[in-house]
Amino acid sequence: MIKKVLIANRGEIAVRVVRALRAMSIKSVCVYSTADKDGLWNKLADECICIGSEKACDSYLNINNIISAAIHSHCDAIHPGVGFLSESAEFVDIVEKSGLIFIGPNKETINLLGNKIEARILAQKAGLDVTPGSFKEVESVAELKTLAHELGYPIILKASLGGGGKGMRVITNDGDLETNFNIAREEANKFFANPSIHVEKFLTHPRHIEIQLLSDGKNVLFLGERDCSVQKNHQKLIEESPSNVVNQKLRNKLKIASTNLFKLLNYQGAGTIEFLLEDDNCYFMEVNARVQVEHPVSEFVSSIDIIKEMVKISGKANSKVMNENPILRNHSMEVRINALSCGKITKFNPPLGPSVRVDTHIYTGYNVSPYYDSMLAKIIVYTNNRQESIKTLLSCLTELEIEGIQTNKDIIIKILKNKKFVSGKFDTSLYKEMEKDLKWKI
Amino acid sequence: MENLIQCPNCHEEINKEILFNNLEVCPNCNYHFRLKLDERIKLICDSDSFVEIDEKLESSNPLKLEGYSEKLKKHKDKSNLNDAVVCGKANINKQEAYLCLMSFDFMGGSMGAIVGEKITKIMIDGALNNIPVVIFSASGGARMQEGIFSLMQMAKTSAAVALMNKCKVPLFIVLTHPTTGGVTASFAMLGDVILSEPGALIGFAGPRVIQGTIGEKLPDGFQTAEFQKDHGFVDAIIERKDLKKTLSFLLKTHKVS
Amino acid sequence: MSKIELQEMKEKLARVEKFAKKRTPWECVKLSRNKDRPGVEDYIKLICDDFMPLCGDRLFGDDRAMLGGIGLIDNRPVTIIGNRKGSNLKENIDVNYGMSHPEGYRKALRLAKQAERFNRPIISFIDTPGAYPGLGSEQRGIGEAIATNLKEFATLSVPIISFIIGEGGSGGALGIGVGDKLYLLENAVYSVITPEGFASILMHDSSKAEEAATIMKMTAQDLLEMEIIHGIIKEDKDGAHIDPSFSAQEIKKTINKDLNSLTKKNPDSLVRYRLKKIRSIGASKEQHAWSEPLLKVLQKIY
Repeated sequence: MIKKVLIANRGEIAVRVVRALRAMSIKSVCVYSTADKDGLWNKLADECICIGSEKACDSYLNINNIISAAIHSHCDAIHPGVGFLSESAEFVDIVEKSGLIFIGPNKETINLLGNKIEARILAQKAGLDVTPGSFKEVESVAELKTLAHELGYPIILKASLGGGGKGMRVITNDGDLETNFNIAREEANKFFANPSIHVEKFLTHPRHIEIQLLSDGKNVLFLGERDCSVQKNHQKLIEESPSNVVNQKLRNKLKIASTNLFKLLNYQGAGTIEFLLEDDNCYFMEVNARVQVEHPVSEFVSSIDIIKEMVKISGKANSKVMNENPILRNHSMEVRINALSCGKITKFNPPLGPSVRVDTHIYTGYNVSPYYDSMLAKIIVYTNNRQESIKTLLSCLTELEIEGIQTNKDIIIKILKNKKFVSGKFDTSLYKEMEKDLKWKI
Repeated sequence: MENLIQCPNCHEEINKEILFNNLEVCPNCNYHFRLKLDERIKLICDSDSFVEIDEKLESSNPLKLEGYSEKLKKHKDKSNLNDAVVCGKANINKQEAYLCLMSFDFMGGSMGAIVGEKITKIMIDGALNNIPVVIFSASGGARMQEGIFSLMQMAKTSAAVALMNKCKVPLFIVLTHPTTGGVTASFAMLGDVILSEPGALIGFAGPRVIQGTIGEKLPDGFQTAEFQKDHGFVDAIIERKDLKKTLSFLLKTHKVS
Repeated sequence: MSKIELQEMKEKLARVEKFAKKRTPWECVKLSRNKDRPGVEDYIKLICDDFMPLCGDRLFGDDRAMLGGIGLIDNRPVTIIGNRKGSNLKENIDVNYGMSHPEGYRKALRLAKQAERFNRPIISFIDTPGAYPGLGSEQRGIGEAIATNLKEFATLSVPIISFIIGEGGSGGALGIGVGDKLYLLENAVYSVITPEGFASILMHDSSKAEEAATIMKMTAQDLLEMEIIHGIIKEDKDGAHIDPSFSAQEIKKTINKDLNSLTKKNPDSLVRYRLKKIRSIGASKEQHAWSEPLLKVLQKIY
């Protein structure tokens, strides 16, 4: 039975988890760095503990301090939120060794999924299509050349232990093979402490589709797909469910294979499988073994509170929700409002309304610092269909007031009005295309 | 964390998006990060007005040095540039100017025959066509791999400044971090007006060499833009956000007769 | 010339010719740094009928590493500037081992401008490891001092002839090395960095300086082949320090020959020719086409 949880995170997700815990009558302990003293999550939690300086490595990534805080405040469990330590097998190990429950999958699962090559092999085993490419490390330029010719250009080199858009290099011809091979290995070693790289076919105009799942070791629930194709430099800006390019047949196919994969993993908790969809082929990319920022979209269409279920699963509590697959209804869309400058928010008025949800940690008078993620708020709507969602979001954005700092609100509005986006005929290159017209404000 | 970058000056980890929107200037300590060339062009030039000149020129390895051609290719592939300077013509607040932008990312911005040639050509064109020239300098000095030919670029570029002077066409230099060696001892110190970004390292000899010579720790602030200004060698230190309007003012007040 | 003098001259030439000129580049480097090697003051004594040193840059001070003044060569007034090196420790401390501060370059410029005003050709003798890399150099703008010299010397309307008599140390040498004619003594060297520096930075092994000296093509022969210099001044087969007067006479002959033709040019034509030469150093045939705009600019100005 989980009675008290420490949330090893900050910002909007920490607020989200506190709210879920309160509704479950579970006590919450929040942590903060010296720069986050006035964070909203600290005000809402039952207790809050300072765990270090504003540098992430001193605070939110400081395993020792976090574990100490959890133990001293007599917590039973730790919720890792998103980013930071949420996919650190080392952290999971230490949490468990300290006698605490980690709200998420076990360290073996995280380790396996963190190795992109292993993940590809497993996905294929589960019946998922994977992007054509290698299933082992590419060790020489000669090997790379052979693979390149088999796959056909363009190809992409990826760090096997990597992620987040780092350590990836696209190659379009034989002449660039050697240089990029060497640079890719250098970068993989630099960022992920391991030079192992593998190669995949590079998709030039894909849609980014991801499947949300909840699994408790007995049942795997399918909460539908999310389309996250509007991205700036691999950072998602707009997400929606369902996707207009996923028909029921594809959805079923993905449902079966994804469920299979999670069963093979004996996955515990919430997880997301990411795919790239191009020309009717849906290719497995990777699994994110944690809750995602854009989870509210799936919560709307499935009517399931993912955070609550995560806690119940890890606490081995009974949950009727897990007994059957949810019916997926209507449409939901989320936009991320990010800060473009730092400073004090002199005015904050969020949009309200029956079909509007705002997940945020900001308030009037809050100081936005430059040390962390720049996301200020997520605005999520739940309506009958895609066009209504877009209209409702546009209305929300005219209502939304954030003064004192610059935000990407205008850029989001531009995207929501973009012809390609509205027609549903866009892909991950949309933002880059639009970027050419976005001026640099002086 | 993936979306954070450490500031080399205050060592804080700063959100990349916030940094980008602050023109790559640290919001905590005002450290001016190195700007990529296309970002610099976007910052200074009227939109879509920049037209590149001589983009195809590349080094011929004049000393036939082993390994140099390979090194050049590696840098070309990594940076998408053919050498350490990009030259062109653009409008700055509707005023025409030639622009040279040096890239420290390409072999440390070192000046070899091609960098020297491209900059010389632009200055001669400026002198001929009565169009002002703006050069953004960033360099570790002369390119050793081209030996005496690199040294000669100092004479070549400085002679071109003499021609600009005689034709009364203005040369504006913006010293960016770092500007050292043979570039400092040639055209970079010969602008009619010399501007600098705050905190830029500007000097002739490298700090380590000087430290070795004097046998003691260098004084605080040595060879920074502020140091150069205090000693009389920089006209003004301009924050990145004010560069475009400053250059615009200079272009306006230096009408070529 | 008496019979004896003629005989001596023939023997000297024979010695020089026998010298197969196959000194390795590293041997040249070592010889160029030899403490007994004749310096600017030695050559002035051997070449000039009279010489008066002039001091100061009128801004800060007098740089003892830079010699400047007015000389008479076969009764022709010239301005002479040059780096001073010492032949023992005491002397070297006095002249800072031939490494000038900014005031040295500013003195050189002042004297060069003075030469222009009074229509005197300028002769420079270069022998320096480089500009002095100290605090004071940076505080007083060594970069600006060298740069200004490069700019100003390019358009002086009097003939400028430069001789690298020992070490041509990078920007510090070039700071008084821009002109109409550039010569190297046979065993002198000229480079953008020392071979030790090249070996350390590019070859990652400072003990490879000897190899670096060859790779860098820094000898008189290399520079002549690359058309960086106009000619080589002969030395005694064992080095100029063995017979300074021989090299001095060669230098003097060269000066007289060059000045005879250079002083015949009108000043504008002299400057145009110099600028064209500077413009095209190391240029290939296609690159010569780039001098078209230069010609148009020169027409505009001169």
